[in-house]
Amino acid sequence: MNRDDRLTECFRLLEETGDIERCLAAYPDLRDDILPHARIARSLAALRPGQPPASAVVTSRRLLLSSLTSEPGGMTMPRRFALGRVAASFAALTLLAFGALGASAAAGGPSPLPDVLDSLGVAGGNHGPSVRDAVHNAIDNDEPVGPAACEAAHDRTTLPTPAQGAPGQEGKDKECKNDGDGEAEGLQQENGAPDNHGQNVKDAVQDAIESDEPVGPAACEAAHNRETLPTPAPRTPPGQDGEEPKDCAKSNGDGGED
Amino acid sequence: MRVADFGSQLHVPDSEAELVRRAKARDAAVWAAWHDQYYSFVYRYAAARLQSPDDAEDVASQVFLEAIKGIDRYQYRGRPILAWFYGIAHHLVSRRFREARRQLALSDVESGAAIAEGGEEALVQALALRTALARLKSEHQEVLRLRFLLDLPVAEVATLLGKSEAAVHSLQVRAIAALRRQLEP
Repeated sequence: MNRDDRLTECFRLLEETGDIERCLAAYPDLRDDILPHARIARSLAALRPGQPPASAVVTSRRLLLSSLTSEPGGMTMPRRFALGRVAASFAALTLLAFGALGASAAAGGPSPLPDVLDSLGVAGGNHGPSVRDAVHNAIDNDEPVGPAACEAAHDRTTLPTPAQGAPGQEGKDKECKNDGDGEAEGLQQENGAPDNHGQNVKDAVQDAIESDEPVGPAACEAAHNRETLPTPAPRTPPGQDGEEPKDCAKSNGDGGED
Repeated sequence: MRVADFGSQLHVPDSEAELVRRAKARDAAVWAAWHDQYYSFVYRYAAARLQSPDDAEDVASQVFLEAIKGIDRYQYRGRPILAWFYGIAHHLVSRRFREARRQLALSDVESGAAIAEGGEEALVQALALRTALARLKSEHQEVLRLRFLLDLPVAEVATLLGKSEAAVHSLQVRAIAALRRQLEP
């Protein structure tokens, strides 16, 4: 048994009996190691944190219980049923479309395909080509591409009929700006939330450089901090619900503050 | 307070597997019981690492909110539920620590009565000890915190860290030796 193993055994004895004298008696040659170890262990005990304040416990408990009722996962449909509904809807629409086509062909009438697809909102209108043309025109006329593309992309008159009156979008016409970043600014103003995400990442990197810390973990942490995203950006985007933000420590083997 | 004490305070007599099942169904009684039993541990663990009572309160509260979010993915495999809360707390504290890059401030230090009673010299010693502790490898820090700052017995530390008791004993000896080296002038 080497020295470390014997020390370990001594501490195991100390753990069981709480009597350091027994430990010293069993391993007298380790006295110079055992006593400093015991002293450090005692001094660490002096750093013990106190109990939480009662008010904090009450507040936390209240928050927990209220979040139980508001937590989205508590009331949502299980994912397999939601997927089933989507699949069933798709199958029904496909059947409807091909049924209409078949009936029309049998009757020898004109093809109803454009009307059917338009009614389903998957075709009709000239939205895509309009955006493309707007971009080409802007390039040809040496005008800024961003506002032109924005304008065309938000032009509802070129959307298929069913998409023009999307629920919740009535009267919410987009105002495209000429400064090139109208989209982000518009979102901020609309929701009153500042976008400080990029700035935070920049600051984190700067801080790391100045404090001579590794830049990678700092940048990773800031980049994955959802708190600094603007409100309209989904902090739990689809597929990320319930997922914890990336643990930057795990990705590089760093032990946190350690 | 020992982890075992938390378990003995459990008023709902069902097994933890059953409790997990009920927790997944958002059973408020189970969540409230878990909060009552484990909040103190989670708070003290966070306080031991962050050294700020306010931050510790935030983290402790957040641990339970994260637990609610993550309970559907949690799979009970026989380890005490406290080990799961501990894992969440460890992750949140690490994240917060990096975000804040908190410098140790005397005003933020909340330690046991020994420091307050010991006066300036004890405070200086405590700061030196904290600084030395912070320089250790993470697993050394963790075993020392759990063993001596949270006063958990080896068996419970072994459960939380997913190690054998012998491994924890051995790790503890090496951690103390490393701390000694850090404290040597």
